[in-house]
Amino acid sequence: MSSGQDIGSLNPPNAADSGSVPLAQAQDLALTVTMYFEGGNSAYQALADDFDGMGTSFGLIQWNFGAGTLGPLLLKMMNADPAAFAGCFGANANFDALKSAITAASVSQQLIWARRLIASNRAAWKAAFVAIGTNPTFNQIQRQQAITHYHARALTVIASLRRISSDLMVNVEVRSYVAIFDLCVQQNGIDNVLDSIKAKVLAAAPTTQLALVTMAVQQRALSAKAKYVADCMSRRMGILTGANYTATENGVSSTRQNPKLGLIAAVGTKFVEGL
Amino acid sequence: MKVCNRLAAICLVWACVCLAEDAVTQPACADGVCVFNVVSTALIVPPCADDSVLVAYSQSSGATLIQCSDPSDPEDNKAFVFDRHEATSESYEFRGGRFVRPDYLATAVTEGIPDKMGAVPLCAVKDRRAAAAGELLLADKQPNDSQAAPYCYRIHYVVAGKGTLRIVGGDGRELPAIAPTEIEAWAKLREVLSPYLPKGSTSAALPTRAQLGLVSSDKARLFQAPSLESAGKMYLVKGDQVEIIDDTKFDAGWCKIRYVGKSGRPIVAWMQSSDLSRSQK
Repeated sequence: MSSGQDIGSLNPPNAADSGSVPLAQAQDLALTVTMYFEGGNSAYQALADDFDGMGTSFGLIQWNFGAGTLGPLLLKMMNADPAAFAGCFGANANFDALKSAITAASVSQQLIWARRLIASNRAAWKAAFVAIGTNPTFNQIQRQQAITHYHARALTVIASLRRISSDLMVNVEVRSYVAIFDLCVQQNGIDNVLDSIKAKVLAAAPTTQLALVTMAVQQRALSAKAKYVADCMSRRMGILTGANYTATENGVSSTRQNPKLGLIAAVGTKFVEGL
Repeated sequence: MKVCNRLAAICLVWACVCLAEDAVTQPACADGVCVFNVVSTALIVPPCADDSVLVAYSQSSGATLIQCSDPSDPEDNKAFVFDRHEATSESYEFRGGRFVRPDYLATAVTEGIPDKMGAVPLCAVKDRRAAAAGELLLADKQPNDSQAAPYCYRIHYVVAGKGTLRIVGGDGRELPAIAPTEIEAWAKLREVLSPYLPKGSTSAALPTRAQLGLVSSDKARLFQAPSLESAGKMYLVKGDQVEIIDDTKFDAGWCKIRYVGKSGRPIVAWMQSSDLSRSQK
């Protein structure tokens, strides 16, 4: 495994004078906050071999061949700039085989390409991905793909909350979006707790979006494995309150610190445009 | 005749590649552990429908692992661990963890385990032992008491003994085996994947009369199902040896076979009984 440059710092929010922020800015904020919570060392060049049977894992969220997630990412890069993409592969990297495999969406051929190259010329395999991970265009595709991946899930959560309380979710506050995005990265969504959220909302009748989203993230946190509940609660409540938050559940106490939470303070109550 | 046989062999090699693409990848082996990925959706049955499926097995024991991952929720992985040689041995279900090759453990100690947003270190343990060749490993992510490294991976070893199988954590604690009713949930998946495991594998669903067979016809066509309509393009030639893995339809004219060519890639297909002569293993 190797890692390269950091993903870079977040551009400061610039919508202080308006009541909303662009979606792209909210997404950028969400990814930055979540990456810090997850360990904060992700990199465009992060590369791992077949250590887990997935052929190759690469990039910001470790797309891999085995699960069929790396092929589509590489195809997107190749389509964006075919010459630059091909140029990342040395003469001994058997580029034509990879090109055929990702074009045909053949997971088995992608795995064959990776395993053969790792075995026969590991340096060429590594050099190819290092080159991809240093190309600004390809890095932008990585970042966008990572955001899109989790944003799609966030939209599902937002739609569910709107079905529960449409009045409170007419617009989506930045802090709500960031908390929901973080939940989607760590816990995938809220489908498994929709009934308990509905029951909670019926009983407590929240009057603000903050109260509604708090109920949702807390119900989802409570459904996590026992050792994770406090961690989930601390992360999401930290985002929603804009400050480090201590949660104690199942005898486990967690105060997840995140200096990026300060970025939410200025825009947390503004609406995300287009949601 | 020699030319024909050579042509047939070439056809078979070509067909092997095609079939393997449709079923499983060629096993990738290192440090006594082999891994193959299941590609054919026809083989991905409950409890892993719609998941990405990987099979890892030890070359020195019967320890075998089937891992199912939802690509959109990799932390909800589930793995079924069993002894493919001993039907009576304990089985285990491991949730939320992931398979790791034994030869990677030394690297993981210093570099951590690659994860969705960066490498995650191993959890601290006293006197971590190295993984033995042929030993399957499972890594389980959990919150860590450190702001710098908020999560860590705990390593579990799949320890195979004579007729026994255990999953032991780095702290020495053992995982409980699962009940027969829970094993049943994995039975179908285990059954459809068993033909792709190396010889010696057993399954309750496999025939009790495990046999070898010799192709007796000059050209024996292979079929995807026990019906003439499912004829494929590939065939075996006289003298090829196969393992008969399902002979329940033998009297009706069909048997399911496993053939391993020179490439080492297994082919599982149906043949007409009349193309085979049987001999006990």
